[in-house]
Amino acid sequence: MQVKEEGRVNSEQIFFLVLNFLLASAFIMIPSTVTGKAGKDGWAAILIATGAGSLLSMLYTALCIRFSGRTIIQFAQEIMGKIPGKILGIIFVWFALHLGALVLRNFGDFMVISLMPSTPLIVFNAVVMLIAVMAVYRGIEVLCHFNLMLVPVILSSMAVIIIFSFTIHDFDAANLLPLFESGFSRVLKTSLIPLTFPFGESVLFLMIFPCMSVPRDTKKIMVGAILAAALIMAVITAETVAVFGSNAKNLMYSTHSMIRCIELAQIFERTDAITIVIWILSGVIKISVCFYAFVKGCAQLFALKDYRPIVVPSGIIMTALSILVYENVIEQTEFASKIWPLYSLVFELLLPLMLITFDSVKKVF
Amino acid sequence: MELLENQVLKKDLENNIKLIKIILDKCSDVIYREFVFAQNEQIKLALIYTDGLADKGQVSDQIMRALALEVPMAVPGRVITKAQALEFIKERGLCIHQIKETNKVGEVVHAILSGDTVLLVDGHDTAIINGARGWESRPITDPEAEPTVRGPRESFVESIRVNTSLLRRKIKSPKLKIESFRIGRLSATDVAIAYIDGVANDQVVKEVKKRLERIKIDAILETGYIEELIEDEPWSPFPTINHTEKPDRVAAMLLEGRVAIFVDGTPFVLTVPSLLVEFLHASEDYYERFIFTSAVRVIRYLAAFASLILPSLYIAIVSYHHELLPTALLLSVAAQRERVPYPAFFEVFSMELVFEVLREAGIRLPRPIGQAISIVGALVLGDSAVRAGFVAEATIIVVAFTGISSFTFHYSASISFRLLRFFLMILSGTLGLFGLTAGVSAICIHLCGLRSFGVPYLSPVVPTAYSDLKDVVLRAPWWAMLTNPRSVLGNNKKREAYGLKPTPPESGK
Repeated sequence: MQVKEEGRVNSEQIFFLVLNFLLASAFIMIPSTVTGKAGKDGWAAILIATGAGSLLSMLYTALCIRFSGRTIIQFAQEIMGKIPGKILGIIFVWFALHLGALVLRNFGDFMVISLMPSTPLIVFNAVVMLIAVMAVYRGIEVLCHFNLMLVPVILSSMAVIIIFSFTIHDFDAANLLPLFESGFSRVLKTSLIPLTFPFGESVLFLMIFPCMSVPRDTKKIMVGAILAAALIMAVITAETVAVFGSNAKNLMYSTHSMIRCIELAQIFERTDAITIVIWILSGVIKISVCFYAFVKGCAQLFALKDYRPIVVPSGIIMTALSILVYENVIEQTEFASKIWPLYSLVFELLLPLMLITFDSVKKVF
Repeated sequence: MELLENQVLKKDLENNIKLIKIILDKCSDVIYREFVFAQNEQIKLALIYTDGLADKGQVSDQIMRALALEVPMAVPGRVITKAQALEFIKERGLCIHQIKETNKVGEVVHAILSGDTVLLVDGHDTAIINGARGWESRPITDPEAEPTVRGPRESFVESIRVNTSLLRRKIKSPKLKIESFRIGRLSATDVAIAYIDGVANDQVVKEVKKRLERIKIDAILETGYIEELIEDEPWSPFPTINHTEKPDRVAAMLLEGRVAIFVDGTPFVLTVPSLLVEFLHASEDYYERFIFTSAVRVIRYLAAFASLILPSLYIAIVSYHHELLPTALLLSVAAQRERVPYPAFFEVFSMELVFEVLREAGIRLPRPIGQAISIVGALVLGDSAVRAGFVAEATIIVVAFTGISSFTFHYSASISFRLLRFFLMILSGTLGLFGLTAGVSAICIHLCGLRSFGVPYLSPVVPTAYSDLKDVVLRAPWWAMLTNPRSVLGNNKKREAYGLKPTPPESGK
């Protein structure tokens, strides 16, 4: 029997879910991606994206408050009518599936490249997907509680990383100077990357917000989580530049490389394996959120009473897709920095904007 | 047989005795004692009781002697007719503290087999059930499974009445309710639930009764039967129902809003709902001063964590992530492992199995030999395994420490931790730290979904009840526990008066 999920999760739990969702893969991927494009001013691109990201989140929360208690799949049909609404729903569900598969792939690639080069990719992807399937199968409440268990671990490890990076031998804040060497417009262009990954990806929460017990809090939650996540990412990005200087942009996973350099009293050395733990834990949360949005969306599109029967098959589809999306890591890097920012804007900006415009126009006439 | 038990008693004594004898055919422990009433020898009486369950002193002194000899002394000269006999005997003839009347054969038989003494009077279709039970039972002793340094030393015994009286002695309030059930087609075991009215959640009390009434079974021999029949998640490795043999612990549980289930014939009492944190708490935590308790609890939590993941962490580090070890330690471990012919996973896994065998042997063996086993097992076996080069010293240290860690908290929870330890060892042996993290995540997700009688198993930590965190890892001093530390369980929010923190009188006056 399907337990009613609406109104069962409190605001605090959703806040940490959003925060963890935003930080998950971004903590490892964003520093190298933004410094790759904007050089040592990458951190500024993140801060600029924060403003735009907050605006974007206002769009989502406006929709969420206007249609409280209903997911985007449901209100899209209300606004656009049954058939066009369903088509938009399919587009949205595709985004959830694709994003989940991409994150899963990033995750597997990272494990293979930096940890176990001779283990096949599918092993990591399948194991992580299995955990996500377990979490989603038991419902949004369990997912939120699980996240709440992880948050202290993840946030405190991030705090440790941020603080002890200052003690790295090569750390030199002068590496960050001069500011905006390559021109401000370049920084501005780069800010599109963090805007679409991770901030814009929070559009998936339009499937989760209806489960909240106090829907009014969404605005506070979104803006708060985006600010907190941006601050952490900006600091980490600045630190990688301070440690590696102009080399930072050539590193595949600069956060990971920086953590390798942390040394403490000859007891904690080469602790980069700890990153793997954080990465798995928060990665599982991000994949679970995507996966939840996908299965819940599918269930609502096809008017199923319960989403649980499709959880396992959907998990297999997502794992298979994660193997198929790229040929290799180079393709992934190209896709992430060139195609993703524009491609994802269709779902993150265009789709919600269209819905809210149509709704407002309908109200006027 | 069933039909006979559904009958009612007749007026004729001979007939009634015959009926009961048919039902209790070949029950050689049941005794039938027929005699006549002292005041009127026409009135025949019969006592029926089970040898060994009834208090023989009471039966012969307070019932037989009174009825067969002493009644005329109390009321000399009065003539009692057959019709008056039952009323008279009830009022003047029996020196027994508790009597009950019934006319149902089934109830009579149950009373006899429960240890009560049944008195049948000729010419009456009513039997008098005398509560004169008295059988051999174990004295109240120290708790064997939960020893304490400070705190009450008594523990429950096998008799349900003694057990409920031990509880009543702790909580002398009319709000302490003890409701009785009888479960088991053959065993007809007495089961009682205890809770404090107004403190326990009514929904939980109702749910407990509902689940107990559902049970249809031939016999209940231990609380474990009931536990498995009423728990929320039968497939979970974690216990969602707590048990204890300490009356003070049960009293504390009830005061926090739980419901206790007593079963006749076992010193263990179940308490529901139960949370994961309570398995990591000892009753002593509340008797020692809070600073010491908090420090000890931190150690206990660390030990619990170690007992779950330490061997797997060791396997993962030694076989996949050597770089995590500081260089000096790495060299020393590598030197030890050089002689060992097996991979770390096999080494640790088999040593953990050896430890489990030793633990099991330590419990099953007669107590005097237990000492010998621990010496042979722990010292000789471990030492020679290292010297023979089968295992590394570091492995022995890890296995021994893990084993000891698992005994720092409640035994039934430590069983689930030990089981999951093997599952995690396999995962970290195949996928290293990644596998370990995945395994721990799976356990966490499972725990997040667990509920015990409607209460999330991980509360008050997740979902967070901030006011309840004062009694999780640290314990707040008693004067600061203004509200119930487990407000998630019941509805007793307020616990004590404000401002109880002791302050010394001002000096210099």
